[in-house]
Amino acid sequence: MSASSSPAIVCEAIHKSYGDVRAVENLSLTVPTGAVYGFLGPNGSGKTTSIRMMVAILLPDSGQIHIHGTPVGDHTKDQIGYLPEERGLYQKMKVGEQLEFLAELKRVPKSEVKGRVTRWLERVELGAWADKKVNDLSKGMQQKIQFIAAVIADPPILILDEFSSGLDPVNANLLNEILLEQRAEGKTILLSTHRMEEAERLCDHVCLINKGHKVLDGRLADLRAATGKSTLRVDYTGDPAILRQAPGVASAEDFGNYAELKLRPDAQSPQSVAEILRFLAPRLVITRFEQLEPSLNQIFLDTVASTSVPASTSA
Amino acid sequence: MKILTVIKRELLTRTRTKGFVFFTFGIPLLAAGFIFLEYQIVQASQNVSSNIAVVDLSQSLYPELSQVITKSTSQAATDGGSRFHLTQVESTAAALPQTEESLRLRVLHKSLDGYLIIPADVLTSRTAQYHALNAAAFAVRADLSSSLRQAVNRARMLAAGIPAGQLDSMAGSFDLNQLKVSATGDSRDNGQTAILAIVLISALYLVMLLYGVVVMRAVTEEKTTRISEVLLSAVDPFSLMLGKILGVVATALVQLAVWGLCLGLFLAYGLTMLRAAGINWTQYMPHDASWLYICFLLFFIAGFLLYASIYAAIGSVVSSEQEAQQTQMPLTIILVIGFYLAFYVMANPTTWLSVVLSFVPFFAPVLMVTRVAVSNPPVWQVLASFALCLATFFLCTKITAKIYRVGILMTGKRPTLPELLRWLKYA
Repeated sequence: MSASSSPAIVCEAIHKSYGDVRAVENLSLTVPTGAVYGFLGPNGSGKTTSIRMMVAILLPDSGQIHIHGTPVGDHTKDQIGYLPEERGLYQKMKVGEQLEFLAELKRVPKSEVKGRVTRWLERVELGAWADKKVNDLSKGMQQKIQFIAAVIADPPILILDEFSSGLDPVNANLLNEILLEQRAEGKTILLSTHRMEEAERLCDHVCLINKGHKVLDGRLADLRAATGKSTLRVDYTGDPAILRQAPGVASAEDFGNYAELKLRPDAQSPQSVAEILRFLAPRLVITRFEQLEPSLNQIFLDTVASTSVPASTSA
Repeated sequence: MKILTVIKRELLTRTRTKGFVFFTFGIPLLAAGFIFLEYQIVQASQNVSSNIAVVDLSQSLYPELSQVITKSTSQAATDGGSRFHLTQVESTAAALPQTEESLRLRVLHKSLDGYLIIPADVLTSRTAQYHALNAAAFAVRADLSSSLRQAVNRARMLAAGIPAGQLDSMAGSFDLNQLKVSATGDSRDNGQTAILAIVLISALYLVMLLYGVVVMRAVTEEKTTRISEVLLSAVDPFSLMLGKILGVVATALVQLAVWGLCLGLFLAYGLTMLRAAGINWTQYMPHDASWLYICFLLFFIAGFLLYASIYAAIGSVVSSEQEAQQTQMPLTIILVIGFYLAFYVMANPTTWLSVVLSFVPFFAPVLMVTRVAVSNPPVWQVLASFALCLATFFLCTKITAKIYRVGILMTGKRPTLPELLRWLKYA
């Protein structure tokens, strides 16, 4: 089913505008087959528009998209299981019937449909709800149903937009497990999220998009190695202002219980770090002090700040 | 094919609701109930006859009146006329006020339904006075008036010297037979085909209005519950739109089939009863109506599909029930205009205006069927108009699919027409 020689998704210089608003501008990216690819960006950055173009709901104004080597179109839809950010189900339809309908739409053979629906409902612990109407389910349960709809046809590519938003930790964990299973089966997964911790945990590639432009792209390990161990994580109690006064600290990001300090390039040696500790220790109560590669959150903030993208006005 | 999956879902979800079952079987039951009730009321009123006292000051009319009334009362069983029971009250012009007073009292005490005062000069003045408690008994008044007229005519003819035996043949009703000209020979048609046409086009309107709105609501519902995005990631917008419309059409056809069956059973029952009573009903049914039925079916489907595709377009553009109600106005108005045009076409089926209008896709379903019912338009015209309807339907569905694809992702205020045209370029 999948041509393993060509990458799962290739976008070449795609553009999409709505009137004067340039939603996506000159976006090129490659999702390798079998990768867990994080598609990250703030709200309104063009993520959802880009995804909709990959799933052939929208057509790009220019540029090309290929799914496993085939130009995107109605015939590539069967290769992708899509969980959109805007959740939706037929409210008055029964859960089991609706999943059967969505499975049939994705060409699951009739003989297998009922079996798969039952198995997946059991897997997400909703086996007893097959005959209930969708609006009898809570929001979190409905989200799990939508997740099933994306995976039930066993497509080689999964595109999940904010798949864990609104889920309690138990259910989020459940879906995480399923994702890892899918990945172990060789599926390609594109995760769109603005939760950096989630991306950090799951993804091996990331692509950052801001205001319609790609600002960062690569293997997560490479990206973090490139910046080196330039971050100090300090769990503390005390006055946050002191953090910025330490020698060699370029900036400090305070999160309440802890802070991430960005080290100046010349202050990353063990000696400089020790000096910082000697400065802070008497002034604050420190419970953790660790030198790391920057978190994805940090990388993102830095990149967004440093790439000053001109405001999108028509020429 | 994916479109079949969509059609199947629409059909099954709609027909398996309590509302559908209730409505489909409830309407025929309700109709049957009403008819039964009507029948009982008519039966009850059959046994009522009016007691009327007659004061004949002319001294010459009563015998004739009595004869006419006796005849019409015995016929009332079959033709549904009023029954009267007359009693003559003697009086002179001088004693009239007292006579009237006593009659009035009897009417007030309900021992009399009414009294009739015939003046002395009735044969020339042709007037009389009828006093009754119930001034609203129109049928009674009409039948009485008609009987008086006949009686006066007979009295005058007798006075002119015509022998009593010839009176019946002098007057009588006239039977004009109407025959419809057609290539296969002329057939008896006393306007029943026109009535059939009215019934058919009314059915067309009812169903198109009802189910057109259903399609529109369904599309809006998918938009507001946001399931359309998932659907569009699985199937192309044209198949989705077409499947949806056909699914609703199928539902409508199921409902109509059930109603048609009930109607058929009812007619079969009623007509066997009439036959048993010795009434020949075949003269009331339209002859040679098979072509009309075929045309009706064809245009019913074509018209329904056409209007449904436009209702679907409206559904994809609006974001709420309220907006939907407002936006569908123009379409409803077009439907209604077509309905009124049908009456013009019925009266003038062969004018160039009627011919041209019966090709306009929005009016064609109704107007072409009307033309077939009351005249004989050439077969090529009928088929050409039908083809045009279908072509327009396909075009509309294609456009609707494009609008749907963009519209379902956008919420907020309704787009203006120029915005809408820009949407067509996005898709």
